[in-house]
Amino acid sequence: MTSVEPVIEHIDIARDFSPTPLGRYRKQGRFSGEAFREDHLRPALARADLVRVDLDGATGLSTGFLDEAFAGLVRDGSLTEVEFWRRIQIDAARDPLLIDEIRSYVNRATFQVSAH
Amino acid sequence: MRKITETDRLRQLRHQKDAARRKALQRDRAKERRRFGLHYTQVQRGDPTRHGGRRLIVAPASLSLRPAAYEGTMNFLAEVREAVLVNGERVGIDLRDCTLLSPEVAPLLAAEIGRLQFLKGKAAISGMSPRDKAARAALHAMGFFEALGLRDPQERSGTVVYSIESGTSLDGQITKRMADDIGHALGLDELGREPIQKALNEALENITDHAYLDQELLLHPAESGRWWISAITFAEKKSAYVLACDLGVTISATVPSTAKKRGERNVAALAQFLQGRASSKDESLLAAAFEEGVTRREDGKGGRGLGKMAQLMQQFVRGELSVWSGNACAMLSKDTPGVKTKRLPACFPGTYVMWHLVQDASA
Repeated sequence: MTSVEPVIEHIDIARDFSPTPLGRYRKQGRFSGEAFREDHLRPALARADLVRVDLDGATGLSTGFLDEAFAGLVRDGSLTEVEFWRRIQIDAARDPLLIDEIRSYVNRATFQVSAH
Repeated sequence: MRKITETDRLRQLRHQKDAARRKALQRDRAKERRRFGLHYTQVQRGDPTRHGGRRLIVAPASLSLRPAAYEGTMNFLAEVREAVLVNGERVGIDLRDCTLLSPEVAPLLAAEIGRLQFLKGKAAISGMSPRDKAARAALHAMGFFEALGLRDPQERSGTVVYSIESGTSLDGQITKRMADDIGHALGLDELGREPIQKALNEALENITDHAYLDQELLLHPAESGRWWISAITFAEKKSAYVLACDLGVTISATVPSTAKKRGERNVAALAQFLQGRASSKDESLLAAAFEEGVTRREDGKGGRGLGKMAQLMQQFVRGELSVWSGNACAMLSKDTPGVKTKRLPACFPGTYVMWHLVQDASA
């Protein structure tokens, strides 16, 4: 019996999107969280079982960007919190606190979804 | 043929001298115009309050956000705004007698003039540069003239002050560049510069996301999403002022509606206001906004920007954050717990954030 290898996709945010992403919505700027989620993260999730997002090359990541890019997937019902962490791996060796920050946004999004 | 007399010769000579003097004067004025990109004008003798169909509004001697000059500065801006927006007048702002122009006031001045030009056209407002060299240099160094789309200044003190940047959409490259410049002046490495970039990003994100969200709450009409940022560094003191400004609805204007709708966990001040018991709502609300993060919107997104902006102070030996918004001013200091707020003697027409960061303990 052979096991099927999971499909893994890598996104280097600085290389594939922008080294200085900023803003929550597209209307705020080209390199917003919404743009990243819809143009990079969601398509990658559709193709792969696991998406590894490398934040290290990007600087000045703001709350609006991180919240919309990641927690937005939970808020719009695309993923549950458990699915989120099973399917998305975030690499942030330069600033590991970013992972905690994203975790808090995802957690809050879960709370909002369940409250509704 | 009439004989040329000695009197005629003298008269001719006087004419020539006058012409030469006039030409020299015109040359000087043209030079002045080129340098400062503004109209250099003479006040007509008859009516000192008007020139060439424009109403002249004289700036106070001190333009600053410091308490002693704050009210005069705000009154001056309000007078200019009212003349252009309410009375539809063409206005000339007369900065000639301005002797103290704090650098932090330049972005505000640029913002106000930019707003009026956006709403009423470039011709609606013109001005005269300060006679005082230091005040003129402050305006130049801040890129005041550039920010208004006027001629590129030829003279810069350059080493300590960064040009005002402005826009309506977000560009992370601008904040990165500014943070790099500030960090370089303060001797910070790349990691040390990032918190400055983050704080600026938070400020701009707040502005483009919240500040112009409800046009009905605006104190005065303004271009939606417009922001201004700038910085002043003192390399020898290893200190910097980082500035961000908007002309949108004030922080206190956005707090009650969002918190009320969401049944937010109230701080005492917010509860007092919502029950109509607060005596000075703007100060209470501004303090509440910082302490409880109640600026978040009805949809539950955001609301952490203020906290992140305050975090920047923690990265430095000394740090202060001052926020002017509507009728209140809030001050946070790294060394003192809590938020100090006070009522302003004149309403601030938007929100102005200023960080004072000191890297050298001996400074």
